[in-house]
Amino acid sequence: MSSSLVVRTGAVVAATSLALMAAGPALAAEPVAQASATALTLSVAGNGTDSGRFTATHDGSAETTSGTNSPAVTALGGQTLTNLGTLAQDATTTVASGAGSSAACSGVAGEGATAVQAGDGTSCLVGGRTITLDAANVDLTNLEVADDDALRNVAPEVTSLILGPVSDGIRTVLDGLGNPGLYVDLGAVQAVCTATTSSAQGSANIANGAVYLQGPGVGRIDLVDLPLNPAPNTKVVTDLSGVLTTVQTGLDREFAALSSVPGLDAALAPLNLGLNTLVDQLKANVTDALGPQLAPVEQNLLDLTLNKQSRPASNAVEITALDLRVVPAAAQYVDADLLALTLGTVTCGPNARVAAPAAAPAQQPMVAGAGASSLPLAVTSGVEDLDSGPSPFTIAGLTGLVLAGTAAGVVGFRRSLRQ
Amino acid sequence: MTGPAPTSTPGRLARLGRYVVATATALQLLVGVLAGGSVLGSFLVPGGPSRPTPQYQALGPGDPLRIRLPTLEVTAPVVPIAMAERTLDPPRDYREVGWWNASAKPGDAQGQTVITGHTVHTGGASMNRLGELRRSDLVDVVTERGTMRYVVTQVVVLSKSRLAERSQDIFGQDRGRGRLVLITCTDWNGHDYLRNIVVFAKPLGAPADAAA
Repeated sequence: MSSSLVVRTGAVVAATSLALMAAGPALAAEPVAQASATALTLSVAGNGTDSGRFTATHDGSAETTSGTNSPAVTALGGQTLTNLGTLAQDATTTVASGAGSSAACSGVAGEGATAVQAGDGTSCLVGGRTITLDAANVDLTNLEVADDDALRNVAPEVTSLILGPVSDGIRTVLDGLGNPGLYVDLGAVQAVCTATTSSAQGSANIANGAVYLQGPGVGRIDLVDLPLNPAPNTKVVTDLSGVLTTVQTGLDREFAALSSVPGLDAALAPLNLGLNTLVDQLKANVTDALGPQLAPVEQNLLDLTLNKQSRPASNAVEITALDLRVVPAAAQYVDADLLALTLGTVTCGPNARVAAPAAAPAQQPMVAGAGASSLPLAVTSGVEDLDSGPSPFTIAGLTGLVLAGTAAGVVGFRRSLRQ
Repeated sequence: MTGPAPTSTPGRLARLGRYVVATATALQLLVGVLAGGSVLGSFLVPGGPSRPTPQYQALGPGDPLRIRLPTLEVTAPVVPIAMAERTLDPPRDYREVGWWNASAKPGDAQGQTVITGHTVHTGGASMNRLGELRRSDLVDVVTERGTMRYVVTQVVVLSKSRLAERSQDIFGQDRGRGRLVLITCTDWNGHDYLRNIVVFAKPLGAPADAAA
């Protein structure tokens, strides 16, 4: 092999190696624009179902999508929801003048609703009847009135005489609640979002929304009225005062029957405790007992967030129109399996500019006196490791470079000695 | 006993000269290979460090395209980057550095030109050796309008919290008189980088003999 051939080979190997190393980072480019939409996720007793996730990404030259943007209700296996009419989920990305942008919308609506495409950032469902979601069943029959102070000094036989019908009465009332179902009525629930390279925004709206208990014994007890356009991260507070009123009404009816119990007044006479006084104390006890037990129910029965928003970056947003959970803490009051339901989830961004360093536009420098709030507070310029190790081609190229250089050096050295 | 025939002085000098030339050639080749450049380039290793007194000219503001740190033998492309959530994140390509596009352009009389580049724990990134810069070291930033030369005036290492506290000093555009601020990370603890290296350099102007 001639020395010139060695030198030329070395130069070619070096150039090839450098070219391969330079091309490496470009092969792992992040999307320029991205968005996703999920109409519904539901988990009951750990058995989950969902409408699937539709995603759109743009690499700067073309959009790629995955999933379906026409989910079918019948595809929701094992769900107990009723009257669920239309699912909608769509996402889109575009790149204009080198800048990525994205939009998404998703939601559910009753029969007759029409799904429309994402992109205008306003809506993806039109029309439709009200949906009724049978969210869970509630069993309040664990409430007890035992160990009440009012009966502490009453003889056991008298206690039995009184508590028999009282307990039966409470049980009757609570049974009368009849395992009322927890229902969520929804006209339409949807979330939309849009994002550019520098910002992201979105909203959620809920038409004709309400949450209520309903059973054969109590009829309908409204718990929550859902706002049409909830502010971001609106927490819904459950109001169970209607349950307490219903229980007290039933107790009044049952206590009224005590007056006809033979011998009861005579049994209470030695205690100077009239029947009416006792009934009042018992009612107070029931209220006292039920109230504190309803408080945690109120706090834990539902964890309902509307227009749930999070921002993983300043130019990215995730929105869920309705996030409903029957949380584990309510298990002692709720004779139902844990339920988690999300309706209308969308993500938009983060988006970027198409990598073109030479053509990338630059903003004008800030003017003197610009506010401190527009200044950086951190520089994240540390990397643990290179994104990927050298490829076999790179290793081969570098090896060739070293060998060629060494060979050239030897040739040059010998040539110099011969001179 | 007879020793080897004495060699004439001119002959010894000629042989010594050949060895010197041969050794120099081999060393040049080795330097060329280690520099990662073309083998042919090894024959073009520059000569001594003599540096003529430079003459500087004014340079109008221009977008930075490339940065040179001669004492570290580092040259890196410069690309514009934006602040996100009050954080500057250099380009993903660790061989590039990022110019904060809301900071002054090289050549601006006001403000500060902020450039940041990655440090990679395992080495190889554009600003891995930034902390080796010392006062009086030169830094060249090539713009679309020419080369702006700076001289390093200060190298500091700041904790993340201290950097945030000094945000106005380091990033504020109401000060600086066109100085250059270079930033990277340092102090890897096995999980995170705990501190930043910040280099301040004042502008000298466009060297008359600089080639863009």
